[in-house]
Amino acid sequence: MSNTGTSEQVSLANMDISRTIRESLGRKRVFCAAFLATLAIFLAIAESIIPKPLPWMRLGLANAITLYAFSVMKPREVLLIIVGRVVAASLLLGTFLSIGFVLSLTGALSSFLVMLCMYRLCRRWVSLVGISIVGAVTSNAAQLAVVNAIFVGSRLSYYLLPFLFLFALIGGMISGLFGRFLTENL
Amino acid sequence: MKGFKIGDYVVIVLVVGLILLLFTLIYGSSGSERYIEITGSDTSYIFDPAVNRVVDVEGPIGTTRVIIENGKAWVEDSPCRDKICIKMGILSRPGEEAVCLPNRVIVQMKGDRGGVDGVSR
Repeated sequence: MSNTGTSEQVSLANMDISRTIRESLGRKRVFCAAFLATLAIFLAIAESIIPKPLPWMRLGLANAITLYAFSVMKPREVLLIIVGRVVAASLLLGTFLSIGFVLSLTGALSSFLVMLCMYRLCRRWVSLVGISIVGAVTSNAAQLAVVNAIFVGSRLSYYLLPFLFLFALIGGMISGLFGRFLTENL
Repeated sequence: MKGFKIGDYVVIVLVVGLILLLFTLIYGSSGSERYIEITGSDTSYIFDPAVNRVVDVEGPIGTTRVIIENGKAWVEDSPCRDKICIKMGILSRPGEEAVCLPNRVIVQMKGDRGGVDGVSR
């Protein structure tokens, strides 16, 4: 950010994206939703390349797009973006309709509900980082509940719970910071 | 940090507290409710693994000697032919057991099955 001229130009050019999305109507708005969903799919695929010790551990970078979408789109459209992202990313990764897909859909929908409530009710006290952390923890808790429902009597998931929440805290913070960066700069 | 609001810190503190609580709840209490069950031909006994002792169990073909020491248990001596119960070794984790069929003696470490048998990915 040493060159103020270009950084101003860049931010001005970027400002248009948020405004365009906010002011666009009808079919144009669908394109905007598709644009954000594409970004989210890209992030979901990109982070699937990162090796991880456990299949449930995710950074949740795609969640940053959800956080950004909250500021420019209606809840209905955000939901569309999320479902579109989960389905398209699973198709591309080859996990469509597998248990992993069910889990990620569960996590995405539950965290969407909680984050929407938080965004609506306590925006004044909590920034996107806090909302993102709560969303990540919710997502993990919901996924574990589903795992417990599918594999009845599996005690393994209990022992994973603290670790999952720890990763959710870290991942939620990172994607929350990223989401705030997008909201402020896009 | 820049841009953090009061609720963010509340959220972080709550989540960290939840993580610590879960850690202590899930990993802290292991071993406290374990017990050793020794089943003879007509009766069964329950022992505290923390108390060291030598248990002699009378069976149809003789006396099986079980030793309980430092939370572990093992069959020290048995009149049976194959000595499978002795070869089972030291029982230290819940779910492990040593059985002597000829002398009708079962030594079991019981309690909350803490360990993970296996992980499938």
